[in-house]
Amino acid sequence: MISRGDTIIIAAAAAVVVFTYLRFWVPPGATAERVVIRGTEIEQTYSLTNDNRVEIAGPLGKTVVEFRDGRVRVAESPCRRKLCVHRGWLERAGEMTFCLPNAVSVELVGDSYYDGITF
Amino acid sequence: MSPQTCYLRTLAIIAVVGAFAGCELREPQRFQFPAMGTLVSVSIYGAPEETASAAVRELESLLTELEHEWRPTGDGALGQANTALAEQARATIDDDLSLLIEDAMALSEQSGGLFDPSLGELIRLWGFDDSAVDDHVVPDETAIGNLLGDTSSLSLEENVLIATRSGVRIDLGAYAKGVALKRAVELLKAAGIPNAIVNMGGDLKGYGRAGDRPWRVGVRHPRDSGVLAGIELGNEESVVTSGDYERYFELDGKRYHHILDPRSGYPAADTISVTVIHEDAARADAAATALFVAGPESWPEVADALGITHVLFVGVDGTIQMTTPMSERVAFEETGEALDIKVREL
Repeated sequence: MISRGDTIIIAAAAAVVVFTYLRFWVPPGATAERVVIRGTEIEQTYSLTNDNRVEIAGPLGKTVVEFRDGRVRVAESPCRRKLCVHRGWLERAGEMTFCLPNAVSVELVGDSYYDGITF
Repeated sequence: MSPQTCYLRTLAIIAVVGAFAGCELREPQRFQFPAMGTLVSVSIYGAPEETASAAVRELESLLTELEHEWRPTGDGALGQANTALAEQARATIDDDLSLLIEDAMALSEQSGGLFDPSLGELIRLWGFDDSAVDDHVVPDETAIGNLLGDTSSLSLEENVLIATRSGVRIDLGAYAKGVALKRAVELLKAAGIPNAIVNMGGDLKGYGRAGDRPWRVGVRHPRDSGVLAGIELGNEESVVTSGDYERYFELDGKRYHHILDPRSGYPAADTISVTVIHEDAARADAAATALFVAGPESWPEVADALGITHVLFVGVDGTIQMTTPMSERVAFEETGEALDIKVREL
């Protein structure tokens, strides 16, 4: 025989399970929420929803960051090796590119499934 | 209380406790700083904030020092050794660098010379060293031929390096990050950090767990944006990838990447990426380069010689090859792309 108290406990337990699942479960491939661009003297946050081009000044010159179709990339860089440009489009939380010579980093921030990317 | 009521109450308590126990209530603390010629990321779980911050500051200091000591040019230990090798064909080095080069030479021998720490002059000729300033050009064929040799052109006895031919310059680029990862993990453990993963420019080593789950690493897709596959790291495991897609230049529509084949002196042609899992990050680092150079036919023999059991190999035609142990660890992302995957035994 289930008492009223038992019903309340079971309902509360079920509510806790549903709440914790919705609050803490991060599905693989979670999309990025915002873009953080860091330079020598700035740290700026952008939305991924608007197409845009942003110029960041660094020791070597201007790094151009391009936003398009919910993705972001370094489109132009004054550095020699262009590793930041070669990184291509970033689209998921946790992905980033950086230019050490021009001291600029571009990072997608959000609920990331992965703790790191090997490349 | 009836047995039925008691049973249901117990179930309810288990459900509540289980719900909390199964959740990641805290995210790892993340830190970033430039070192070793790249951006280093550290994720720490289960340590007080001040302990984690202090450990990361100590780590930054260590890696800055290692970068200086192991840079092929300049006044660090390796830079001085290379200057002495160029001028006198011999160099006296300290114990730490001696151990490092001895291990690198042993790995080179096990790889059949496909990982070669004495290729520094060839790397410089191609303009892939950090000190290069001019635009990239494809070097003259004769100049490349003059620099080809093997590790027998270098010997090490009681802290004295001897070059048996000209043009020997040591570059530990395909190995030093692995050693630095090992030392980074040792430092974090000694500093009382119970769980951490260190990402040094795409080479990672972790220990412990991120709460109730293992550390998760994505393998970057070598041609598209995003992740090709995911791997859950076991305790103390490292994962290293060598790819042709970041350090390269293009001339006349052709791509020239930085992973040079010591046999030809040109970029290895038949591979686009190799991912390796191993507890020894330095071995994994050297192995990823050696397997990349070995190519789609020969990589299993080289992996076997190096004691590497977990390999994910992507050929220039896009086909994927894996060892059986790797196939049991890797989870490919669902991208809608049809993957051509082959499992090979060592």
